Amino acid sequence: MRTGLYISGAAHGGLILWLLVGGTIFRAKPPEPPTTTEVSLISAAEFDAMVSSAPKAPIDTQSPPEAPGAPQESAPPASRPADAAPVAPAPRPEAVAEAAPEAAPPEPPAPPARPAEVADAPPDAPDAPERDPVGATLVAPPKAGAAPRPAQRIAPTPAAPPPPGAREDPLRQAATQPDTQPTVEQPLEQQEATAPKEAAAQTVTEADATSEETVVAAAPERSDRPKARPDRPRPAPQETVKVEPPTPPAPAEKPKPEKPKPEPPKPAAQVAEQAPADAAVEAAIAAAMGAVGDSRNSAKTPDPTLPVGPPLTAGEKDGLRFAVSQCWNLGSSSTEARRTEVTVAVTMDETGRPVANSIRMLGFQGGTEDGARVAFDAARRAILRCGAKGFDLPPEKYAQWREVEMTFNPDSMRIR
Amino acid sequence: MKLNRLLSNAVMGAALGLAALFAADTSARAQSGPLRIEITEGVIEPLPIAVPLFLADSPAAGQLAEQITGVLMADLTGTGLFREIPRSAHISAISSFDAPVRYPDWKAINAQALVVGSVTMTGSDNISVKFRLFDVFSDAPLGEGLQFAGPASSWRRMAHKVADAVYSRITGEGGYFDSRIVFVSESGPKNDRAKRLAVMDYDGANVQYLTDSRSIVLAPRFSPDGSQILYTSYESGFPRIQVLDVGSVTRRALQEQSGVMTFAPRFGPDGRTVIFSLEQGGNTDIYRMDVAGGGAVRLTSSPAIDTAPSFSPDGRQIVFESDRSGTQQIYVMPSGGGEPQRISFGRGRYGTPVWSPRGDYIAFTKQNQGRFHIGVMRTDGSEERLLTASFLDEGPTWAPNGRVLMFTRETSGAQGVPALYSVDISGRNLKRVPTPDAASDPAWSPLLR
Repeated sequence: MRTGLYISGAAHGGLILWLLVGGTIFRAKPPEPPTTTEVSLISAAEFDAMVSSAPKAPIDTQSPPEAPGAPQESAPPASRPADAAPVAPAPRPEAVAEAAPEAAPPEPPAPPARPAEVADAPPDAPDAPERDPVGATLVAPPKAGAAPRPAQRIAPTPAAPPPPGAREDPLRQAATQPDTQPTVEQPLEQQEATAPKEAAAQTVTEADATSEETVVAAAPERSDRPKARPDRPRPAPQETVKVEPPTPPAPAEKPKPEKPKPEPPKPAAQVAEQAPADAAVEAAIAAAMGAVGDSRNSAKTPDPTLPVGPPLTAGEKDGLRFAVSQCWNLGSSSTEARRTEVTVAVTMDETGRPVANSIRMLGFQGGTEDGARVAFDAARRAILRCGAKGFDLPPEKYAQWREVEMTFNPDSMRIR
Repeated sequence: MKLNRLLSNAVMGAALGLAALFAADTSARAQSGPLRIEITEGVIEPLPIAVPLFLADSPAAGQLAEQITGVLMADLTGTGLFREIPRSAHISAISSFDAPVRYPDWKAINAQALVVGSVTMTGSDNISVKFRLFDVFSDAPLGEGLQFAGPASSWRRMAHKVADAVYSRITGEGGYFDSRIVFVSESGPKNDRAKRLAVMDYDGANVQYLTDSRSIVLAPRFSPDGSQILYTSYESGFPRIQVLDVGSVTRRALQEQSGVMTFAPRFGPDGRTVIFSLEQGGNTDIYRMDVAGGGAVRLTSSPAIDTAPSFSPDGRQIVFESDRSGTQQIYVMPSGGGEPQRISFGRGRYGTPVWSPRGDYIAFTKQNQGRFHIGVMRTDGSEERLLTASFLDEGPTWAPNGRVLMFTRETSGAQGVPALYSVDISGRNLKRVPTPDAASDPAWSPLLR
């Protein structure tokens, strides 16, 4: 009659016991205290004295130094010729009738403001008029590539150019050849030389680069983070004809991961008593689960039939993070996309490969929808490219990484 | 008996409760949801793109297809944001425009984007160019296919239009390939240089001359719709602003007023208003007037030299340079006039400010310690960033998408000549724009329609 009451009482008692004792037993390890370093304070005078005695930096980040060896006969002009206030005018000549361009100017160019489409052709370029004899007075333009170009790739970690013939790989390793006379016991395997792609740590502007033309480096004077800016006006849609997309090719046969068959639930105990008691127990369990579990993840509880294993280590998470970041290329993304943080959800198969059609954007922050679309495209490419061969994740913990939410935060990737 | 049952129930309940709690706690500790990671570091490198030769339905179309594919690829790789995967590396051959794409073949060569196109003769002298863009690693088209039709002679514009569409879809920025540049073409020795106005495609093709070389011309500027050009001419001996109609190549003086010099003109965003500098009695101020004529309204009144005005895209503000503080600096004021606010505070002198068509940056020329720089700053003067450094860089002009700048770079010495260069606002991809002669004072048109 009062069995339910007793069971409920016991369950609540257990819960209270858990709240009192469980926190002590299962409490997470307190974070290790941060490493501290003893420092001493110096006065401004001491600092100035120290700075003045230090060797001078080669580059002044505030202002570019004087150009060394500037030709005497070619001092920079004091003012711009175009928009500067003109000098006192010469005596005004008599009005001259507007003359037609000399030597029959070329066929007038069509107005650029033409109706839509490409149907309007720009005017044909006329035969180039005879150039005025310039001869040796003109100097050939500076040769491109006179100075070595900076690395095209900007990566978190700068990397030297890979040796010739080396395969791209995050890991740098030397090539080995099979021993011409291998020992019988342990023949060496041939190993291909690998090296990470050449990369620089940050963008090098032309003002910073040193070359024959740019003798003095001029580092950016300020490089704060961009603030919110006005919305970009949307370009007027162009009149075009849509082309029907082709019939999508039959999807390649992909090996489907074999999901472990769920085993039939085993009764925990033989309960001789009645169904109302079972219901009460289940309710208590559900209540307990609900209280402990994170409400945000209630819908994403791992499938209990999948291998759970111990928690993912920080190294395993870092490995995944590093693998994705190697393919997260923002080089062709808009500035808007580079200030948009997107969160992407992806489902992995058991081999660590992302399931292509499972990749979806959960949300974005800091930008417009257009920027978020481009940012999501870049994130999706990163996941699919670097996951093509499967991410290096422990299979025994599959339940923990089957569903992954990746937040792509481009804060540190903005223009520097 | 009853006590036993009671005890049994209590024990069972407690056991079940503890088991449930333990299970819940274990699960929570293991992971209570999807694995969450944050990626904060990536790479910045050109996107590998494959552009197989566009298909053609005839030998004539085949030649055009080759030219269009070449211009398309030059446009894309010229931005520094894309890297071409050479055709020799392609595994798949595109046999039909509508044939399904074999994504694994393109993934194998690390092509992240693929452009498939075709050129069809639609008449004696008309062609149709269509293309599709694919996101290879997503196994899906990126946007819908597009088709352009027009005379065969306009094949370059069609190639630029395709490039604009591809660029826009991948980067999220507007394109700028189907645009033109007006500039001052210079020839002859430095002390007797002939100057004339010329227009060309953004990439230096199709150069056409608009004026003769009998008088000096300076600082041409396109109207917002690209149909007119303002420039300063010394034809009368005085600097005088001229308005040139691009379609008919006819021109007229903006203002006929004896004894004054007018220069540094620029259109307002509505295309009907012009702001310019006017010198009278030794004082230079900024004025505003209707391009159709009428009286000029004075916007600044200081004994200093106020010049090089430029409207904000919304037409509410004007940025200009002035030496009212003792050195050349950049100021912003309301478009109707009013108290200017100085926004440049760095070392050196600042000039030729130009408001970005997107409204987010102001480009400028900076002179400091004997070097010239092209730079950008936010419209409040913050985040100043110098993009170039040389003996003489000046006069920046914005691409229609507000992400690329073109300017004049002059080499030093008696033999020095000016040339046009472009650079993106990150300071990368600096390159020379080919011109038949020396060139200066570029001004970028809006996107053609």
